[in-house]
Amino acid sequence: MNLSGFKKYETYYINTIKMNIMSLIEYRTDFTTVILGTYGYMLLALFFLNILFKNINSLGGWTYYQIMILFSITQFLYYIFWSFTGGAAGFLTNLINRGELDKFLIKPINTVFSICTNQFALFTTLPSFLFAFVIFYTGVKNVSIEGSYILFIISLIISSVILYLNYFTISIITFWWEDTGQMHSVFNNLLDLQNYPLEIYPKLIKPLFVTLIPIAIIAYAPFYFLLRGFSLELFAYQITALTTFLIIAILLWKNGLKNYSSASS
Amino acid sequence: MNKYIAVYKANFMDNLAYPARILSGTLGNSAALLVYILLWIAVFKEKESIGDYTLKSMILYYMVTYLVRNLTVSGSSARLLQKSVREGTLSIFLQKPIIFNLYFLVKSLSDKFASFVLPAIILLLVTIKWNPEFYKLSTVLIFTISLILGVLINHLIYTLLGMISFWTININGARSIFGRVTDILSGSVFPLDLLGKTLINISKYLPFKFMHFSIVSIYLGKVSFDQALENILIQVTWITILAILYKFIYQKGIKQYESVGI
Repeated sequence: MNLSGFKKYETYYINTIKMNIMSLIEYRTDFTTVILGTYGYMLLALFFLNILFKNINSLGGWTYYQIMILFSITQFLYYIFWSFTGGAAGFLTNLINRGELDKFLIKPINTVFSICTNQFALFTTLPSFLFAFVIFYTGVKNVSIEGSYILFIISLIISSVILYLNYFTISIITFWWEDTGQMHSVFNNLLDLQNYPLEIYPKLIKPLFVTLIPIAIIAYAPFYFLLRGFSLELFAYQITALTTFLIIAILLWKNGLKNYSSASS
Repeated sequence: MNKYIAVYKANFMDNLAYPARILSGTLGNSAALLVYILLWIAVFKEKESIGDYTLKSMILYYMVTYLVRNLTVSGSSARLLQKSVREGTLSIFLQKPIIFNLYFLVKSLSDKFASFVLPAIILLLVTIKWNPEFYKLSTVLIFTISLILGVLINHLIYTLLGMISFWTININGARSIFGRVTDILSGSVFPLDLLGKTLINISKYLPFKFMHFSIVSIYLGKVSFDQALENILIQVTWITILAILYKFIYQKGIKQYESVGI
């Protein structure tokens, strides 16, 4: 891509952000709704952990404050990708189902880029980020950190991309099977497993959750890198998941487009 | 009554036309249950029993809770009513010789029933092995009555919540927060008897406990026959109170309702 090509993408992205800010100002109730929902979820999860740890001293060898950090990481992961892509995965599902993908296919920029950046939501997620950070900070203040913050941040970004690719891949399946809403629901329900450490998985199903559905390592890897230091095994799982889902998403997208029929918009 | 049975049948047949949706709905609920089961297996490695619960009874607790929760169609009534008010389609129901509230209940139950069957069969089989005491006519009967009353309490509470949309169009935030509070006070995320005295005392005076916890308690044999009957009486009382409240708020709310060009 040359400089003018880059400029085109930059201008498009900035304008999209501006539009989303204007939309946010117009629909303030939606903003409040998101905040209430996420705060409610986080408070409930903390309440659950609190009750749980009133009855036990550790979970899979990890203490209350360590699990608290793990929980805050799951929230970071979600808000990182949500900040920059918003509900792009759900948006793609709707575009395919309604036959409105053409609007993006005919734009003189990369289609995936334009869809993924269409729902910029950093300003909506900021209050939730802040709350997650308070939980993280409370946890970190009460445990000893043996790992590295740099590794943690790198791993966090990789995991966030993996998480997004999972959502996006499910949405791409809409090209063949229009009702992927329930698949998202299954995935969302399973995602609650992220809140708990890798040690809770029975040996029999552990391989499934570190490879095919890598929920077990998405949050656990950055968590481990921060608290215990680098683990080659976890990093290898992360890179494998990232590469695999990236390839799957690209292949499905290319084949899916051939399967797409528009509603003559 | 026939028209509601017809609505149920039509909606059920409509759902059967999409078996993949039923399968993924069942999988979705099972996924949520799996999270709790895995978690509690890990927790019980640290301790043999928590409160009155062993690993088996805890797993049964969540299996029944999820089944009841699935059948009580949490939130659906509020969502359907909100959608109808926002889009103005409530007018369609107001012109028909049906009670829209009952229509929503029947439709929600019908939507959920297909994905309810398989987990229910699994639970009944697990019960033979882990909780055979449940299979007494009196227990099964009282459990079923309590379950039906629980469904009605749940429906009335969420319809009341949905009626907020007569005054403010977007109730998603309120629904979300309310859902979280209900999750705690109904015992669907944690058995109420493990929550500590304060919350247990609060829950005694609220209807939420009778949506899930009191029903599951009958299943697990945690309450005597007399206590179960007492719970049923309280459920009936709550249904009466909520129904009166519903009528009162509906009369106020419908005056606020506007629909254009439907």
